[in-house]
Amino acid sequence: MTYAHAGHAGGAVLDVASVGALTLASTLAVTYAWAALARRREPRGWSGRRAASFLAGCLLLGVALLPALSPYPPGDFRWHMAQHLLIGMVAPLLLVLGAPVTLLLRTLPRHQGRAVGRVLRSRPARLVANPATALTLNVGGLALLYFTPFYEVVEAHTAVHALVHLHFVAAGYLFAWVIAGPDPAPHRPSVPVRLVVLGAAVAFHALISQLLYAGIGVQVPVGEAERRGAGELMYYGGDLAELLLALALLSTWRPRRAPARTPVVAGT
Amino acid sequence: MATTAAQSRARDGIGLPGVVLGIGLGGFVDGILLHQILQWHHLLTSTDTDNIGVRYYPPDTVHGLEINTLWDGIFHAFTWLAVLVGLALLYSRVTVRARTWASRALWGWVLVGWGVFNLVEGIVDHHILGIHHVRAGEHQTLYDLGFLALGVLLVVAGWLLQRSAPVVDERRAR
Repeated sequence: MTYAHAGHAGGAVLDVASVGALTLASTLAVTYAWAALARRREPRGWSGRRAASFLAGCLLLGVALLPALSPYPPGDFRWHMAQHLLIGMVAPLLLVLGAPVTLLLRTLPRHQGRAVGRVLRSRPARLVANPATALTLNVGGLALLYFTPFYEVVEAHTAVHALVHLHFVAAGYLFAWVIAGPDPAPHRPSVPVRLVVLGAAVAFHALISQLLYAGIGVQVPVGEAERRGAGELMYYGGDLAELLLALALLSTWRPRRAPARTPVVAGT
Repeated sequence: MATTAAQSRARDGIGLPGVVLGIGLGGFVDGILLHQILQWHHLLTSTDTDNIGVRYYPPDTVHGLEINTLWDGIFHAFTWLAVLVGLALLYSRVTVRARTWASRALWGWVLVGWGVFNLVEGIVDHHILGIHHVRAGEHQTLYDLGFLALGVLLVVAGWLLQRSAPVVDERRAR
């Protein structure tokens, strides 16, 4: 049984949601590239690697939502899952590694930069930047989508569909930023805590994909082949994306200061 | 002389985390590539010919595949635990901000860990217990020996790589 995917006109190259996503992604990319080029002319410059990472993230966001690129028939659940892996896990990590907030702080005039800093250190930011919040927004979003009748609502309304995509990007970005990345994060917990949170995310992700594969409690009205295929994609794809996040944590962490420093200075 | 001792100490410090990380990553290569994508074997696919009398779970029946998927899941949890513990160990031992991940010593030890994974899993699961083979059927012993040879190669290559590496934290205070 195939489920009619009301959001996409069958076989159309572009629909409203993809046009919106393309516009958003290209706006992000152009703004970042403009700011990065301006910083490159300064003595400190701007890392080409960060720029490449951010622009790749934007590109991925844009193309992952194009229905024409789907290897599956229109409305296939496996394509929906591949999109969520790309826009909710891989693209956010690439964006975070591009250090957009650092670029913003260096682009803005000083007093506006201070305002951004104040926002980052504020109480609401502390609440949102909590790893528990980030984890709940990610895992909770998945659970709501696959284990309640919400998926049918999403498929029936283009606007809701677009909002769900936006939620996946935002929640994925928040999680990647809380766990790793070069951007400032005043409330970011210690590396051991972040490793435990990443472990919990891995476990939940594996659990949800296994339940999807087995069809336990799933309320997504698709055929068994589609459901199993999507569960498999989520299982392997999620592993790869989480592994990349774990390595990003390694590449950007700031180890504790050497405890020996003070005694050495005092002693010599 | 003192620098040499300090250098070897710094390299030793990264050995255990690197090896544990490598065991986890090697497990991922095995789990994702051989179990899932190629589907050459699962954890219990050869228990009809094993050496310890585990019940047979043929992967082409629903029940057999369920049990194998469960054990693959436990294996999956083990590989993740090794990766996260490896990262935690590494973090606890690196005290100076440095490009740890770009260090030749770390990735040398990771290769050693991957090789250790292949050797332990190959000797215990394929040869002693016989609960599965790399690719069961014709020439299965050749596949199993190839898996061990890859393990030896990785250990040797990783060992040579880490030995040639400069110290990670050159700015170490002591």
